[in-house]
Amino acid sequence: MDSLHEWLAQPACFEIVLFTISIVAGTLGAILGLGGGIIVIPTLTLLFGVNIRYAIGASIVSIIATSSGAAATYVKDRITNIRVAMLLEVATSVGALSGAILASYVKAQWLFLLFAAILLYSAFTMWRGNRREGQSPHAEDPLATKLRLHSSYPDAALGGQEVAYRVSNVVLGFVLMLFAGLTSALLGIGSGSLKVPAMDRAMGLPIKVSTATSNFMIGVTGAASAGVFFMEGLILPALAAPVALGVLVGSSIGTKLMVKLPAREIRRAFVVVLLVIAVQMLVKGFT
Amino acid sequence: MKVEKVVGNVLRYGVLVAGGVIALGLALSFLLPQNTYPPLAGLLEHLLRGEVLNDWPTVPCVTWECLGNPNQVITLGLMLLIGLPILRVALTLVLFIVERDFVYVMISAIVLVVLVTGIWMGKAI
Repeated sequence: MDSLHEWLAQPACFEIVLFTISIVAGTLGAILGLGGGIIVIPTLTLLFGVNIRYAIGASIVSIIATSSGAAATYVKDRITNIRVAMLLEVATSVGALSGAILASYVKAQWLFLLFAAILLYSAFTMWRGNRREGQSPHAEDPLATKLRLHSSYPDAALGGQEVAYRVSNVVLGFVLMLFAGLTSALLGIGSGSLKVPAMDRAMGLPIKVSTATSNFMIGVTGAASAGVFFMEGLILPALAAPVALGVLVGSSIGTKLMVKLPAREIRRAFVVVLLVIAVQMLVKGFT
Repeated sequence: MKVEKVVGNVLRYGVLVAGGVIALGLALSFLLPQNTYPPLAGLLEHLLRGEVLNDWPTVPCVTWECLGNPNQVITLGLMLLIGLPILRVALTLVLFIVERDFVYVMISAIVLVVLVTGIWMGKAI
């Protein structure tokens, strides 16, 4: 371990290793609608031994880079539902702001456990519910019609066929996003892991639309908290630069892969990642 | 649809510019180690031991003089990157105004106000 650290302490080695790992984080994040924090944070803290404060600072940069990098492609390919994103961003940003204010009053310990429980439940329902894309199991929501949320997207995995979908449970989705924004501020995580299941399960969006729209949204929540991290000196250029560049490269690879992947595979990969994050949260909650 | 095209393009070129500035700063920190503060090698030594770096202030500064430090060039690129989602919300607001879609003008405006409030609060802390 010591010789590894000696080797990593050489600037060129450190930057190249972090850049390479960030490519993986960006690819995975772009496909699954997550910020890449699940890879960036453990890499920095467990492998490199960096203080968690700087690891979270770097992961915020990773979230914003994944979001903008992936959204550029998904928006152009019409996979992102911009109306759903804008509507739900009201909830996530209000939630995040409340979280930032509450952060010093709330004990994070039990929140990690609650968060883990929600992730396990989401993983369970997403694993079971392998429905056909575009067919919501819920009744149509008249509010969604009024807000013109129903839409369609071209699925490259189905030969570019246009998949139409209807949106349901707008109010429930909105409330879940308030919670997602709140936890992202309280626990310092991107919370794509909550956004995707909420859109996929509660609102009945196709999985590809859910991950692309989550990708679009996480950047806004991230930007809101980045200001605080910047001013407190927690975003270190030496960490943030290779992370940002790696993630930008990775997200452009990820978007190309995602449009071609069958929805089923994306859903399965997402369940696995949910379980990994749940375990991470349980460890944090019990230690 | 027009909104998608404009937002997509702004994000694409924004990412290229921000990424370019960050890459330039990173390259400069290797080419001009004498100008780089905090120095990369010294910083890593402390960072890899899990220390909190109170001795090395990293407050962003984008005056011409500050940008002589490659680390501040990276910071400028990061600020551009962080600014993109905010720019994107502002742009969506304008595009919904053009499309006369007033429900979504309201929605975008609320997001923008909350976002700016959050950033302003960050400064006040």
